Amino acid sequence: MFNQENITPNPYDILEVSSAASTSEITKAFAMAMKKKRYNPKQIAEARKNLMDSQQRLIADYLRPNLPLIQRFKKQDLSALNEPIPLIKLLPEFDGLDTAYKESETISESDKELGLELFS
Amino acid sequence: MGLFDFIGKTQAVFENKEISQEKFSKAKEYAQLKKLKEAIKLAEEIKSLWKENPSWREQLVRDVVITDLLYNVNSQLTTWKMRLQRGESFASQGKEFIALDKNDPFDSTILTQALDSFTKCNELLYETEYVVNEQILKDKIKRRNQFQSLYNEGKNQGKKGFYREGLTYLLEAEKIYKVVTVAKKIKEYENLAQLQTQYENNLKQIKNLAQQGNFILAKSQLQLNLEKFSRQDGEELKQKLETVINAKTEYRQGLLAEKIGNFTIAKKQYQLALSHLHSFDLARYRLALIYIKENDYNSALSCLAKMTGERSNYLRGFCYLQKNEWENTAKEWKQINHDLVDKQKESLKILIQRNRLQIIQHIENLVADKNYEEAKNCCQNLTEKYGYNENIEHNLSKHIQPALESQLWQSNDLVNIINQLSEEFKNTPNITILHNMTIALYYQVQIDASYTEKWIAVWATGLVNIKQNPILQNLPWLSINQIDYEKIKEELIKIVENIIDKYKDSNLQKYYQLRDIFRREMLAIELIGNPPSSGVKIRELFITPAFYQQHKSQLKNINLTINQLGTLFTDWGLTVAACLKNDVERGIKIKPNLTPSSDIEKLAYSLINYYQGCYYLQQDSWKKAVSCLKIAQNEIKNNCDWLTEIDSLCQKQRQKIENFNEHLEFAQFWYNLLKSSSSASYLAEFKAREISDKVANEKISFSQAISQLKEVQKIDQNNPLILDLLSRLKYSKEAEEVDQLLKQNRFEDAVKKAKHSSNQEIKYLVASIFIEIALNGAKTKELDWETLQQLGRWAYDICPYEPDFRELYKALHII
Repeated sequence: MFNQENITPNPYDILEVSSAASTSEITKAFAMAMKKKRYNPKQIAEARKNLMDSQQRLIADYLRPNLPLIQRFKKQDLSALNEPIPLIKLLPEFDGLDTAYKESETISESDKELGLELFS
Repeated sequence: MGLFDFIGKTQAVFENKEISQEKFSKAKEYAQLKKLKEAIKLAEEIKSLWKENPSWREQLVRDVVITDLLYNVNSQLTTWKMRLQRGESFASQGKEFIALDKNDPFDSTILTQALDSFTKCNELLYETEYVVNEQILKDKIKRRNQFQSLYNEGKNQGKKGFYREGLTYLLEAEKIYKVVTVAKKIKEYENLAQLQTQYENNLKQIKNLAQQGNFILAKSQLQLNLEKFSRQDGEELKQKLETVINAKTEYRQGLLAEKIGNFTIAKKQYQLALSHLHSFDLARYRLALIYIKENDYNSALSCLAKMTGERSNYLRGFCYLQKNEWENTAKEWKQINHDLVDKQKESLKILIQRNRLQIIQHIENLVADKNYEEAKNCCQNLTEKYGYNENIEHNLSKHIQPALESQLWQSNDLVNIINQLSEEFKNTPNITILHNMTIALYYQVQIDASYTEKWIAVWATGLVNIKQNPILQNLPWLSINQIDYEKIKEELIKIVENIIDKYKDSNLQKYYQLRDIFRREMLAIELIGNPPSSGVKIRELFITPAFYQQHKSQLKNINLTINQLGTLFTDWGLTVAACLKNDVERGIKIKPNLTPSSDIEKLAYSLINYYQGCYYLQQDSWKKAVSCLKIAQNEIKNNCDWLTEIDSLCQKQRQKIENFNEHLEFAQFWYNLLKSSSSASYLAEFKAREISDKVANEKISFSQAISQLKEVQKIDQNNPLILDLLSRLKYSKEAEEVDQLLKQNRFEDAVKKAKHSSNQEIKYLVASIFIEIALNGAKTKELDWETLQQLGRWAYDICPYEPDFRELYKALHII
């Protein structure tokens, strides 16, 4: 985290260990960091020293952001998506063009409704 | 004329006067009742009692007895005669008008003029005939008006085609005046009323046809009916029928066009039909269908907006379906009871489920691509659309959100992290967000020093709340919870101090500025307590003054407690902290030039002024301290420690003053400020000295000095210097008074004065003077025995038991 020159890195980041790391893990990580040479030897040695000292290690813990644990993402059964997509078409019963045309030639129920509505 | 004759004439004058007065009074009563003829007759009778040219003697008697009675009678008579004349003139005018009237019931003008004349006449005089005339005229005019009104209304009804109704009015008019014109009209209307009845019966049948939807037949029959008898209601019905027929024609043409698939023409025709008849829902429904066929679902929806019924519900639902608004479709179709629609409802359920799964699939893809921000939005939208789902909630809060936060920190974009955390803190202030802000700022300060103030504020607030910070809880490497929080705090404070110290060599001003801020924060932490017990809080978090100042605009509802801690949160906080940490010099330098308004600001201001005042006293600059300490005076009075401190500093300051006037001035200030016993004694002493000097230089008399000294004594009642000086002044005053009396040879007064003096020295002095004179007189034998005895008696009166004088008293046979 924060690999910028001006920033004092956190000992955990220098040694690339988690806050759960044991003393032996820290020692191993120290050797690895020396090999990797991502930080200068003085910084690596200082980081090791700090993580070995319980008081200094608490400070290193404090200087890390408190981020929530990322839990496993729960996947869902999406097999229903493979089923054919139902098609919904306009029902011809609700169109009724022919009926409407036939009705327009005679005196229809609609005409009677209209007549009652307009001339009552 | 002889004397008896004169007496006789005089008696007649008196008798006539009485008769005249009586008649005149009666005449006036008649005039009041408008009975002018009777009034005039009485007035004439009065006049006949008095000769027109009486002898001078009679005139003389008349002048004395009847004064202006006759003049008044004459004057009234003239008036009454004129009124009578005018009244009669109006009456004859009225009669003339009556003669001119031709008994025409259609004309009331002449009768109205006649009535006007008789009304005016009756206002001037009362004649039964004229009153009757006026009433007859009124009745006649009323009848003619009634007749005219009925006749005109009948005619109006006829004009509108309502002859039956008009006939009723005409028959009523005929009852009043039977005239040819009315009779003719009645005959005409009787014929037309038959036609009207026929028309109305036909119209009813035509309306029935229209109500049954047979608009064309209704229209043709109406046309025939109107040719026989025309009336407004028939014309209106005709127009309405034409509108419906036109709308139906356009509609039918629309159907034809739609049938051959020409939607453009169909649409135009349906719109025309609607322009003729807005309530033509058949045309509106077909128009909506055209829009659907053209895939213009929004227009279709606006067309169907106010329509009701299953058909409209179906079309609206179908439109929503095409727009993927499944919920709205479900809502519309829920109201339809139709087998085929039920099947479509089942399909709709599948579509809704598919849509939900598609969104979930999209979220999974976004997560796989690490696009957590978008995934979060999709989760929120999904919940909003389809309600709560445990899996979605789990994925959002336990995977997406933490991943998003982790991603943010991995971005290395500290400014963005700080801004996002600040926003989050505003919405949900808690220790974790505060801690993360602290850490982000800690690293950002190392890149950009301009964040230092902000960092110090958040860092210090983090320190106050360190024990509730979960970052140090349940650490996997720490087997037992053995955290020494105080040591950690020390380390964390050291980090800040090291960063501030970096400025010491490069930017001293910045160094002091940061040190001031940090000093205030540290003092606040100290005053908040360990564990923190009181102070300003945001939810469960105690905050420090710098944090408060930076978030002041959002913390308007917080009331600062009136105590030292509270003062640190004001604009004077930095100065207060400097003063309380014994760096008053720095405090003075950074003291803001503001006027305090709230109680806490006033306390801060007083506190600063107290420390500033003390500082000046320590520097022996008491004059500079005056204004500061005056400001803090009320607070000083309520604070024992402050009182003691200032008293002690003033004691020391006193030692440094050499000049008498400066002493006096300083003593006055000290006393005014504290009213302490030291200041009272000090002021009283110097004021006494001042008075003493004035007496010595004869600038004031003994009496003036005594009264001034008594005033000073109010400051310090038992001051020995004042008491001594008062005693000496009183002695000097009495001695001076006795001396004056002796010089004026007022020996007895001097004896009385000395005798009543409370001062033994005065008594002895005066007595010894008499003794001395007596002894000298005896020696030189210049004084006789009686004088010597008198001198001895005076001395005895003053000091009867003085052993020094007892021998002489004996020698002079006084004792």
